[in-house]
Amino acid sequence: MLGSSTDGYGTWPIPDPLDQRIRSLIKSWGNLSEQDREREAAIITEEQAAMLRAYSERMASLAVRNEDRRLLILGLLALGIDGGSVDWREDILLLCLHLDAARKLGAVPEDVFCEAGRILPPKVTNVFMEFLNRSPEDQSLEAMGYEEASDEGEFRYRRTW
Amino acid sequence: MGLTPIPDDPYSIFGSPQTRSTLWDAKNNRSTVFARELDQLKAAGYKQQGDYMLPPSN
Repeated sequence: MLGSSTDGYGTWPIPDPLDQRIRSLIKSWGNLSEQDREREAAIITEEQAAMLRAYSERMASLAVRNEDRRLLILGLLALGIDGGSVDWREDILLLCLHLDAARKLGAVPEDVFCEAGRILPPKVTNVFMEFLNRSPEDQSLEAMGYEEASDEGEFRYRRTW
Repeated sequence: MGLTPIPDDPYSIFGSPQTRSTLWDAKNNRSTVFARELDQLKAAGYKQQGDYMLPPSN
């Protein structure tokens, strides 16, 4: 799943079989004890964290397409698994997607973020809550470098830089 | 990770090691936040010296 063969995964058409594999890994991680989750999170590499970010971004788009709130939870879990140990600023940029997607689905963003936060480290949950408390301008897609676009005729969030 | 102002010299900035993975997100085919920070500082006239970014006046 790692190595140069997955370079550009974040830009591949959605869905891709790799999405399903990552989803299975996240679900397995979620079923671990808190202690084991922490242990696993501590050994996540920079490359793995980048894969999880790419997955998270893809799931926000797919959640809007499929109108599936569960994909937002998976996307937020993917962002938080590493506990912000790499460069958390990269993760914060993606939170606007899950917020925007939650609103598009008619879900209460706080509920979605809290549901994911239940099994994530408190440090991550705090970052989620701080993001939700930002001004609308500082939560916007535009501020975080995203726009709504389409890919093969289907909805997709796209980075503007 | 990223850039940190130096308390005694608020115009100079200490940066993280610059490697391919800290500057380029290969999984997403895009620059990292850190790389964008460096570009913005360079555009503002900062010069890199080792792990430090020195302001235009230095």
